[in-house]
Amino acid sequence: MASITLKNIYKKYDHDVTAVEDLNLEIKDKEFIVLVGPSGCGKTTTLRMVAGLEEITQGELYIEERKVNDVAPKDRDIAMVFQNYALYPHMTVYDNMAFGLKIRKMSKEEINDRVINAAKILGIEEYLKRKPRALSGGQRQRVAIGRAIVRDPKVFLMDEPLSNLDAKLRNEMRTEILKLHKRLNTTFIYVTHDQTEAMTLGDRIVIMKDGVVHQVDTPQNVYENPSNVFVAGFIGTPQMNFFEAELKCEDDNYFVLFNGHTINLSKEYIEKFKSQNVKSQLITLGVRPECITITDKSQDSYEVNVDVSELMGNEMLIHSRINDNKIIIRSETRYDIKTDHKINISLKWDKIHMFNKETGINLKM
Amino acid sequence: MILSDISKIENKNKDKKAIDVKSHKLNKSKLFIIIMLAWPVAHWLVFTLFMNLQTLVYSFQRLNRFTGKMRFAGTENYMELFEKIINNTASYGIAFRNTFLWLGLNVLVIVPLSLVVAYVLSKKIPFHRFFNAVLFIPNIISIVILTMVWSFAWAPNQGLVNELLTRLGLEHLTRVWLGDPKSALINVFVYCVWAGIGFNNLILSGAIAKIPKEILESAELDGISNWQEFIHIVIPSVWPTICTVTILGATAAFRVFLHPQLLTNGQYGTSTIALKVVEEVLAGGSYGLASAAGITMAVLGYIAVSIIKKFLDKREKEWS
Repeated sequence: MASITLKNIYKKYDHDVTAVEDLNLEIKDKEFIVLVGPSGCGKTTTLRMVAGLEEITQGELYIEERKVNDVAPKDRDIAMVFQNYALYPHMTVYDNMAFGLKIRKMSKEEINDRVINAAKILGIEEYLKRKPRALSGGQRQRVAIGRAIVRDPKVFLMDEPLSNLDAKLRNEMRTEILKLHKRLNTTFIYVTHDQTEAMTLGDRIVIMKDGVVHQVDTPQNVYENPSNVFVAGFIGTPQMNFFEAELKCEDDNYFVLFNGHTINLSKEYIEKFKSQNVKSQLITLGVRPECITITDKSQDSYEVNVDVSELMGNEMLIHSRINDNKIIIRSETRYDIKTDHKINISLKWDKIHMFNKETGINLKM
Repeated sequence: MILSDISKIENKNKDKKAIDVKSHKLNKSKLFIIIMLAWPVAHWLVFTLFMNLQTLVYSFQRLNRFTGKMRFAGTENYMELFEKIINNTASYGIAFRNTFLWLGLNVLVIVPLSLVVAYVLSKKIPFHRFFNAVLFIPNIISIVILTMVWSFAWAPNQGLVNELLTRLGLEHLTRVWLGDPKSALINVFVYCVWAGIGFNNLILSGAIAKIPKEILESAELDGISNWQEFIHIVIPSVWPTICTVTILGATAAFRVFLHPQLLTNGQYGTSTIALKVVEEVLAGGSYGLASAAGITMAVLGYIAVSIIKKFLDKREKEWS
């Protein structure tokens, strides 16, 4: 069990390509932290730097109190689960799990105890004599996790371990990993590009883009208070709707001009803006699909045309437009709404997000 | 009634047309297959099957030098060959021994050494590309040139090696390297190792490069040393390729004749059975004896390669 500190970490490759830029992160002991972001955002590079598989160009990395920049991967007391499992194809499941322990010259009895115990935890006892090629994807992933468990490491690193599995198995394994974290009670760093995985697994999630950390917070806070437009758009399925609007400040009062409507803001917003001396400006309005409701025609409603309606079973997604902006509405299932129908919608103004048009930063933060 | 009959006839005609088109296409594809196979099959029939059968027939015949005709000789050629090998007549015994030493050299020295070199170079050591290129050079230069350069380097007078030894004050170590029975065979072997590593290295390097990076990284996290990685990960991972280069090396051992012929003219204890075959045909016209030697070595080669393959397959089964 260990805390991990990344201080001003940079990773630069030849030709001045910066993969990770000034990354600062404190990971608490026993915490489950998820690095999430689109492809090429630097999340895997960060994980590999923690593992010691990638050299740190600049900055300091601590595991517990020990600076480990120059410590070999084997001496960092970490275990890693790779995206494509990285099982030794010529060894049986048992040998795959035991190999690391044999290399560390552990006694046969101890190795056997650990392997059997890990196999029991993961439910792979009956496959111990099989070779990896005789296993399904889910079973291989369990073996890969088992190989990490037997090491009893201070830190578990997982690099998109579920991305090669089908959707059903991914959901099952996600739960298994959560249970495993609770059972092992150790520090987990988990990399994924799937925001659903990030939201469901992480105690905290780190959202990255272009090598830069955009927000580190609990899943709930990231969802409810995204730090900027990128985070707001990345977290949440379907993604948040964005519109151009104008924030007006007149006589100590704040209101938003949007699509010909004047919207008064809640006290909370006004107080916040006053204290931060926010001025009139162009803004990006962010509204989550579930914060748009289908209503009867009224003064505050907008009439929109239904481009596509997707029936999801317990809910439906309606794709539409306000002016030229695409908009997605999440609604309870209604069989009377069809393509090309006109509907009236209203926005839950107490749930909207406002971002500076130029910087993309959330005005509330 | 009449209309329905007409439509039936029309349908039949349509079906017939469709069958005709189909059979025409089938004939075309058959013709294409025949054309494409004609040359390789003819080549195999003439240069493999016929020539091997002819060799087998020759091995039971002898040339009548007066009439210039071949006569049936039963097992005379084989008996003469075995006698010559046992009594070492005309260095046949040494040639027989050397053929099997070459088998050992190819299988137990060149393949393992190539594997080690390929592994070391896969670690991206400084100048690894240069070393790869240098090792492969013997495969793109004519063997005549290579052996000539090699002979010059080991020449007794003004040869690079003797010159170097003299300058280092080790004059007592100088010798006629390729003309001394004590050093000639070893020298030819060293040449073969030098010239033989490049090709195997190329094939094995390709196989090592295909080992998934994550597997090696996973092993690194397990705390594996380079030696352990080589033994426990690299060798099992590239075993099918090792099998291929080993079998190629083993079969090549029974065909070695150019290296000793060009370096020592087959003298000073460096001859091989393959070289003896060449000598018998070119010098004496003993086609029967040469064929018997060829057939004998083919049978022994088959047995040797089968034993090696059995060992290799056993491992492959364990690791696959």
